[in-house]
Amino acid sequence: MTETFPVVVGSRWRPGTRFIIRTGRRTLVESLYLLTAPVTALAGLLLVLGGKARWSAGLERWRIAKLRALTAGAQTASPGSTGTASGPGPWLDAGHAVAVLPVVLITSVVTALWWFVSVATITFPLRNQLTPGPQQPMSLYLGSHTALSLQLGSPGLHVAFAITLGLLALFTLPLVTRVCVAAQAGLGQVLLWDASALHRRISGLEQERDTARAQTVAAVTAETTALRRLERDIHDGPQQLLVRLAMELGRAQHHFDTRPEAVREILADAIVQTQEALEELRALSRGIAPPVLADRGLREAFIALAARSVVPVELDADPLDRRLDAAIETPAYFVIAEALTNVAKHSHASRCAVGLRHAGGTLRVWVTDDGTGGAALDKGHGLRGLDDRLRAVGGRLRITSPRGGPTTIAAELPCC
Amino acid sequence: MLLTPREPPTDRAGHRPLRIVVADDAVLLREGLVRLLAEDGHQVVAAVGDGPALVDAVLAHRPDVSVVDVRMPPTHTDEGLRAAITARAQLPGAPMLVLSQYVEASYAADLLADGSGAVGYLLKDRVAKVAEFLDALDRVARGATMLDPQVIAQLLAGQRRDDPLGALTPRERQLLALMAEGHSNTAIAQRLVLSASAVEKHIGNIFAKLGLPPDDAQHRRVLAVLAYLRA
Repeated sequence: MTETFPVVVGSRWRPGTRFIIRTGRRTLVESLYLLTAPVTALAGLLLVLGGKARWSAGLERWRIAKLRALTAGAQTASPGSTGTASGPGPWLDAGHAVAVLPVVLITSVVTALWWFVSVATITFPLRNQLTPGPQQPMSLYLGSHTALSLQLGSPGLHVAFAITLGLLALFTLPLVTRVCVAAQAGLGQVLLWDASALHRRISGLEQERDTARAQTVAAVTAETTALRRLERDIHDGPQQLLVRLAMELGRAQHHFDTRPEAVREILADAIVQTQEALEELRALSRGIAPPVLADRGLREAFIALAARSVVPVELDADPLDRRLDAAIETPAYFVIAEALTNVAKHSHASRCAVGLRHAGGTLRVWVTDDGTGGAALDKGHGLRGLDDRLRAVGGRLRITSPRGGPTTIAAELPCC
Repeated sequence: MLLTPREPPTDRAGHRPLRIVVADDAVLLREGLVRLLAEDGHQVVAAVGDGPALVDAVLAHRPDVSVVDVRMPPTHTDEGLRAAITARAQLPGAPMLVLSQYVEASYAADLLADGSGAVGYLLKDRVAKVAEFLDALDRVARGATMLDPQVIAQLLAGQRRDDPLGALTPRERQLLALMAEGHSNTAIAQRLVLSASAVEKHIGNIFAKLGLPPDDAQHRRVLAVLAYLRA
């Protein structure tokens, strides 16, 4: 038992001492914070008036953060104490600088008063001894006219009263500073942190909304462009051929009786034109929804594209472990189809490579050629439309095409 | 009240040889048209592929009629239509037969807006009926106004409540539609199984109801059709 005694004692009073030291330290730091507040609040107001609301808010944020860091042992860290947040805007900062003034006025006066009462009463016996003289009956003065006599005649009672009052003030001081800090720093917390956190969240959501909106716009643009192009293709392709065909048949009818030889020739032409029109229609329907893509998936569709390409294609595509989402497959397919068309039309390349990778939630497809380079988004060539199509599904187009080549057109699409 | 011919007609079966400008950006169709017209004895004085070239050709050759595709480079919208209007602004009344894969009533109204007639607006497909097409070309060259039945159908489908043509009887509307298609009074009389005098009486009523002043008949016909288009 005797061996364990000091341990028992230690566990009893050591935490007590630690508590007193911690509380004392905390009270000192808080008092310093509260007593310097009028100066910084005034400075803050001047900064706001000088148009530097951000600096004013920054000063108060720094003070509160410092206060929290120094008193961290005595209280759990506040959720908002994440340091240097960017302000929600000058209005809240300025609002804080103004709103904090009356609070500062009260808290600093109360703190100062409490300190004064504590120190003055505790040191009363000391001062009393140093200045001997006839003892006045102790009175409490309220204003300059009303005095309440405490009827404490003897010096002993004086001292006892002073010490009691002093101890009372001293022990309640931590409570007072805590309440004052809660009021003053709480205001800062609300206006400088919570509101700004809310503001950050709002701007985050706004950003998300803008991204979604941009995706919608890209999707609509891509669709409109694709439809316009389709209309043009129909107009310039099968429609022309059919009008010409009708014209030829009209001629045949017109000359049927008079020039049978000419009619034979016209009909032969008409058959060729019919076949051309059918071929154009097949090409168009491939351009709208390639059957091989719908039936067999991306890799097979790439093989088909490579087989049709005018420029020899080397295919670098491992089999995919499953069918991808059609919303991802289709734009990926058209990136390669369009890029291969551009290779044939513009690049003067002698060969090219088509690649396909699906890993880590990203689908990557690319075409590289050994041509003359110089491809760019704003040059036409359908790249702008591809970019819109990709952005509509959260993907992106990368074009690397220095003058003199080589050109790489790559697309990355999110695809889990 | 037949359409007044501008020039003395015809040295071969209803048609006289015309000097024609062809404007179409599609080589396939341009060549087809040129061959078709040449086979019928007409002279194609210029075959061009865009709007400005059409204006230049019309001003340079002053053809009897121009055959114009609506959609041409560089805009591939209504380039041909606007070029035709520009050419007519500089050479008033220059006959234009405008062809298009699609016909729109508003385009027809633009073409007729100057009120001088000699305008045709037809679906390209009509070319297949060679004889009718050549006939239409000839009539536009003489100053007639010919609109594609599809334009007329659009107008009939889209009749509005505050229709300025509201005062017309169904019979008169029918007559006006046929006038817009470019039919002569005789042809209208045949179609509707009416006497020529009855047709004339109806047309007179139409002009009166549309408030068209007694002017030369040709001009009034164009204005009536224009009123019809704008309804």
